[in-house]
Amino acid sequence: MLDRVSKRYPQGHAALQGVSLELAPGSMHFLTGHSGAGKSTLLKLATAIERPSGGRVLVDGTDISRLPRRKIPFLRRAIGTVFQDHKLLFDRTVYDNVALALQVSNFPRAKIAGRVQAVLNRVGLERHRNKYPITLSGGEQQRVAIARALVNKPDLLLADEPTGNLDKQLADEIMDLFYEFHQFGMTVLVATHDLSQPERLGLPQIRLEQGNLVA
Amino acid sequence: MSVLRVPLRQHREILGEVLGRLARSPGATLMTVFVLAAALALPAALLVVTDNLERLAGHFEAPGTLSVFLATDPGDPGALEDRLRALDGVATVDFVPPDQALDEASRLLGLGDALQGLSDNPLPGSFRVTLGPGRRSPARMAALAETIGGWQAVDQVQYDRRWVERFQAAVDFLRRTGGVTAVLLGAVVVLIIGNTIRLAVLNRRREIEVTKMIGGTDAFVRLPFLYTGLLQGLLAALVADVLVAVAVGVLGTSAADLAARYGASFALYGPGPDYLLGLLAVGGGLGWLGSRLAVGRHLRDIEPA
Repeated sequence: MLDRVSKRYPQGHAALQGVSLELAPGSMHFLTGHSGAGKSTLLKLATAIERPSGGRVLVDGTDISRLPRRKIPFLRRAIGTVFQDHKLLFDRTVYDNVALALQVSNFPRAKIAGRVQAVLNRVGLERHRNKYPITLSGGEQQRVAIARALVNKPDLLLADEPTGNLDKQLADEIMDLFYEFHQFGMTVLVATHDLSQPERLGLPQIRLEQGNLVA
Repeated sequence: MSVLRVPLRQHREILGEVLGRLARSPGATLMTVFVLAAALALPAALLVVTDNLERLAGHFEAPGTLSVFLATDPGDPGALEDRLRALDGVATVDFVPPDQALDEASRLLGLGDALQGLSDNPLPGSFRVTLGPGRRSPARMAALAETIGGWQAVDQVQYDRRWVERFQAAVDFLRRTGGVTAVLLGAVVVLIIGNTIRLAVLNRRREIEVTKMIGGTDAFVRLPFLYTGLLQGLLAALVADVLVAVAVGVLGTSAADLAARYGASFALYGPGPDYLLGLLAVGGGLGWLGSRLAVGRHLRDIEPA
């Protein structure tokens, strides 16, 4: 939930100007708007990558805008994040990339393999478990990133232009995957400039224009 | 300590990962380790040398004679003589009565009979105390002189200590030099490891960003680098241990040879186990410190964006 949140970057550019919005648990929304409308900023505020200049950001009832630095990792473990450039590590296998998210949260080691396998099955990558991300297609790489975001079973999934580099068919597949998670009860927020997706899936849009909420 | 906030199991995993990483780039690892080992071995070797010189000073035979000058009213010289004989290591005790001392003085000073004109003999009586062979170390001489000097009937105790003091001063100087070298090269070790770790942090910038993004704590991200520094320091200390031990082994033979030519027996004293362990502790500690300093500075700057 965002409460009159604004964000001004040091160069003086105001990315968000008093935006308030609330995502109901289990809902799925698309965050739309042109490049530079403040979509990415909004998502970064939710994971405390950026701090708001004004207003409050509440996740699960906790105001995270003043969250102490040492508590931030625990917030991030509860939120799954997917980026356009997927941020995979190319010196480790698909399996290791996904398992890293469990290792950082001190997940019992004996259970890691099972959990990773399950999530790889879920995104349809079970056959690619021991490959390196560089050998996979763009759509498959994005699925690895999604698997990594999901493996901690977060309540909230945030995706920033997850299909920005993919063709129409792959984009649809990825979005369908998100839709599936939403149907399993996860709260999902997907930032995209592709307006066909909300229409295709019949889902509500949150529209940003120059840092203001318009719909 | 933030290190303690990371569970033990993760420590083990991270340590294994770090070992693997070091083993996968043996060239770079060995290079760093040998540079560090050289920096550690030099002051360590100096310490061994000064230790041996100090032991050598203990071996030297001083002339071994103490002159014990009596107070003007010494009481019973016989009782004092018995007391001197009873001291540990004393071989002979000769009494030099005031008259004999006066004769010796006039002979030594070439005054002839001039001193005979004195109505009173100004010289006190004295004992010449000679220590048995093997009991004449400078430390023993000094201790004995102090003990006897404290007795009531004794005015002062003299022995030739100049050369002992000179030798001791030379050893002290060498020891100080070793101390300064150790501090300087210790700083070098910290800087080298700090720089190695700094480069490693920059190399793995992306990995650090991603790990922080998916909820890795600062302590978790920091730990592999701290272990890298610690292990490099430990390995370097191990190599330095070997270098010093080999050097002592090689020099030991020629030192014994040299001593034999002077008719003495002297074995170079090698570094003991606590010395070797101490060097390991110092190496590991400096490694940890160096990486801690580097990581503290650079890790905070790397944040997901």
